[in-house]
Amino acid sequence: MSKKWRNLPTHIGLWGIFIIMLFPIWIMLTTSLQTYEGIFNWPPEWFPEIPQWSNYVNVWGGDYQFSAPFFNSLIIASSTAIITILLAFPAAYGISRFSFFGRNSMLFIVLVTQMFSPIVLIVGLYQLAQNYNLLNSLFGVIITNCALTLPMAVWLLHGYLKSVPETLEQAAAMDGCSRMKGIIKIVMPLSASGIAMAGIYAFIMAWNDLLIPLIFISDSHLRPISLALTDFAGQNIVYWHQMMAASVISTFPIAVMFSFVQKYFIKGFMSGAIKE
Amino acid sequence: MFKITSYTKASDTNMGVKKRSMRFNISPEKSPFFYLLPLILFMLIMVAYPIGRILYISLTSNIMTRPDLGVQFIGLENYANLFTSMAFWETVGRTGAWTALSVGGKTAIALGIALLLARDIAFKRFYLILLMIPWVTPMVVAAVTWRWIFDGQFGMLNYILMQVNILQEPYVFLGHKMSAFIATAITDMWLGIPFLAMMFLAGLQSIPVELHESASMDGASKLQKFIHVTLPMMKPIILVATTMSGIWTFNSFGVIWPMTHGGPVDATQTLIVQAYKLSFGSFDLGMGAAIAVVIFIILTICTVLYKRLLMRQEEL
Repeated sequence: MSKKWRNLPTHIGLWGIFIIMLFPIWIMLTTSLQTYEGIFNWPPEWFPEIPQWSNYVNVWGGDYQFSAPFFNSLIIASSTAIITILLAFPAAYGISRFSFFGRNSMLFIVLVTQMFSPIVLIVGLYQLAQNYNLLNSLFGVIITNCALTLPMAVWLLHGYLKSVPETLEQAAAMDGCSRMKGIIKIVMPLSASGIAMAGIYAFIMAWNDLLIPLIFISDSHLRPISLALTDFAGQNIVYWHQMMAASVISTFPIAVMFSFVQKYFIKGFMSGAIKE
Repeated sequence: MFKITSYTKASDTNMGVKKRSMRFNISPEKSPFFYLLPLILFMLIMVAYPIGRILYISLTSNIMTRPDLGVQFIGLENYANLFTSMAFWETVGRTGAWTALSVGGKTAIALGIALLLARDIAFKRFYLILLMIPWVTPMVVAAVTWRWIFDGQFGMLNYILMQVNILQEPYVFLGHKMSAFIATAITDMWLGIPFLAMMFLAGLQSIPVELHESASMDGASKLQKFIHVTLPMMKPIILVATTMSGIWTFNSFGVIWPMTHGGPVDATQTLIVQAYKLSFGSFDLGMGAAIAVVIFIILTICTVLYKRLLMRQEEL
């Protein structure tokens, strides 16, 4: 009992911090349920009298047609995740299982690339993309995203694969199992959570990115959510209630994905494994 | 079909002899070659090529809206223009100040949260989930939401500050230089705090309890313990995490662009925003590429620094 009371100041401090930290989320949710007139009420309402759930329906299918950017983002992010895994997993396997000339410098290059700003790559890729008609195509956005997500994915998977004991594979090899079969039957199932982490990381990065679509996409049918939201905000009259509803919709898939890996994330951080 | 099989069979018998003399074996059983090949090819096209390309473009005069001028090789002229322009150095200084403000704020707040969460308290899991929320928020969503909070007419911040009589009338936060600079930094802090807090929490929990106990036995006060035990033990992880966060902040575009587009009057224009504006606003690829090269060099130096820190930490 006494321990509980001694911790009271800690709880008060945490509540204080989290009320401020979560204030924007509260604003986002309440504004998304306002009427257009309700937004300009002064003093502002902390919670709308009659929640306007219809805002979500209007944003999704109405004037904004937010479903289109949503599905564009979904295509971009999931393709980025899949291509990232397909390229990163074999590479991470190669780095973790073989020693070869240039292995360390390769890991270093991977680390450097991870820190790049997309702008460095896009300025250089722009004319190439222009020549191959990759401007105004989702594919162009996807492969540029991959260039930025691959390094971290290799880094993450390399860390995971190092923890999968090689002895298991060697035993399988003794029984006449080829290396490929060993990878599919033994290594991949054992590193499934690492693959999921790398995939979700790539998905979230692609979902968040603004700079690549801003430069590559000018056709309004191909805009992903990040671009669509920025475009709304650029207009003279901003319909904040619909914009906040669109924001909630955009946050939803990431929140769901995160809640799945959240357990691994916390565990990873706690054990310091994320350093890998 | 038959021909192919017989050919492979023939070569197989030959290979047995040849293999021993070959220096490189590329079979997937024994060599990393095929595992690394797709990645290397992809990175050559998507990373190495563009970097070589910006180095070249930065040495040319290449204005896409003026095809009549053509593309001319002009040597280091773009760099000369850049380094003699006051506006460029102002942008460099502004980028440094903005990054320092944001990372400094993030580090201080995250350390505070981590210190509170490291205590033995109830509902820890619940607090950790709350902490994750800004992290899950997409960057552009955070930027537009904060833009609405900072709104000059009906924003919630104006309302609150007027309620407590700090302001007499609404203030256009994103329309004034200083407040726009701080407002964008606050938004960036908000997004970055969860990651740093989690890193610091992991660091705090790895400090052996015995150190604190023996310090208490020697009569150290809480503050003394924090300065002489906690901080030195946390130094490596603080350095690594803030360097990482600093690089991300330096690269930040998704916060500034939707909030201010680099304005008002360049007040929030960082190097990344300037590179974007030059290349794809005024379509002066030569100058844009020159800034991209500067960004590339700065980032490479930071990464080398980061790697050193990481290696030193691993030795510990």
